[in-house]
Amino acid sequence: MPDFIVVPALFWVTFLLIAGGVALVRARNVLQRVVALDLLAIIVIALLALLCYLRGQPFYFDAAVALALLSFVSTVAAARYLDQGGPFG
Amino acid sequence: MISIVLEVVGGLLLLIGLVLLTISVLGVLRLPTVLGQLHAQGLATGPGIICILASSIATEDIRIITFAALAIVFVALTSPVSSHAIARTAHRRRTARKAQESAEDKTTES
Amino acid sequence: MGKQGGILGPVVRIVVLTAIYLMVLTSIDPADILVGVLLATALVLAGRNVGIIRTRSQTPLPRRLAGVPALIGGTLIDLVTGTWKTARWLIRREVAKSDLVEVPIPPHGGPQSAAAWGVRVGFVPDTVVVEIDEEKGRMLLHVIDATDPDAVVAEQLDTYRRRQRRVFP
Repeated sequence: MPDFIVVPALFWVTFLLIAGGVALVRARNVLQRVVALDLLAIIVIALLALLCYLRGQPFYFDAAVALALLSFVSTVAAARYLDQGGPFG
Repeated sequence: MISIVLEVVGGLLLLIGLVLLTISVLGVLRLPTVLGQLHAQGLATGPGIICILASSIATEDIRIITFAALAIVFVALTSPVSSHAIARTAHRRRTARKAQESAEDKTTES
Repeated sequence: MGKQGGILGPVVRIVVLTAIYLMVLTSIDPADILVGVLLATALVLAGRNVGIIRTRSQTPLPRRLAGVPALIGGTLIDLVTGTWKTARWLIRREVAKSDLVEVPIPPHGGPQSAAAWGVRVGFVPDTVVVEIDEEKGRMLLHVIDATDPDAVVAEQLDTYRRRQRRVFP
């Protein structure tokens, strides 16, 4: 993919990351914070994918898949914790 | 020839994905309730990230494309589950709070 | 499961598991394929002995596999229309009343069918699955436009009939 597409896209995704951070700070309760954190994880996955296109190396995708796994597990654990007072209860 | 077509398709997919991510972030910033925010977040975790990962066909590198396909399948299977977990917790907390409030109303009335 | 399904089922599982193994490794070296097939066979046999993998469906496996393209393609169509609706709702700030709607799901499907319902419906951004109960056969959805709950229920049951029933009845 040509650089003149990927580099502006990288800048834009970084800007979205900052906007997601604002959403995290402005959240009014715990569940809204969980939603914003999940969104931030997705934006970072997009950032890693774009870096992978820029450098042409597939190793960044390892990190992206691992991050998706971590964010899934942590979101489900946090939601269950807030629901019943224990991640496995 | 094929590589030009692939680049155009990849660029379009990337553009659609970025637009969807932007709308999603704006929605999460603006909506007041958790359940409403989950709709906005679903826009990024579902179609948005899939479009961005699918634009990897423009790289024409088989290793990158297989990894992107794996990531797409993984995200598609896990994102409904995590959004369901948040939605269930939000719903239960809301019903519990309403029950508590109505119980308090009854005690103050009597 | 039918007579052909008895042989075909494990073979399909082995092929899928091997494909996942090879995608993680990103190589099609013959030695890697051999190791992947051996690992997948061991996993499928172990799963059969322990009884983790169970199919309770009466439909023969070839017919269920034939329904898979319709399931994936139909879900993609739902995804596009749902994305369009949600994006328009977020941009225009239409005051559509978003609310909870209860959808009855067929109770005889078992856990597999309920899981398929949940993933298929929850994947589309304009519906969020709030509660799903396969024993009572009901699903609580949060939809964007809940002005007409009966239309939402009819639409969900229609998509189930067209996309999911052949694969996960």
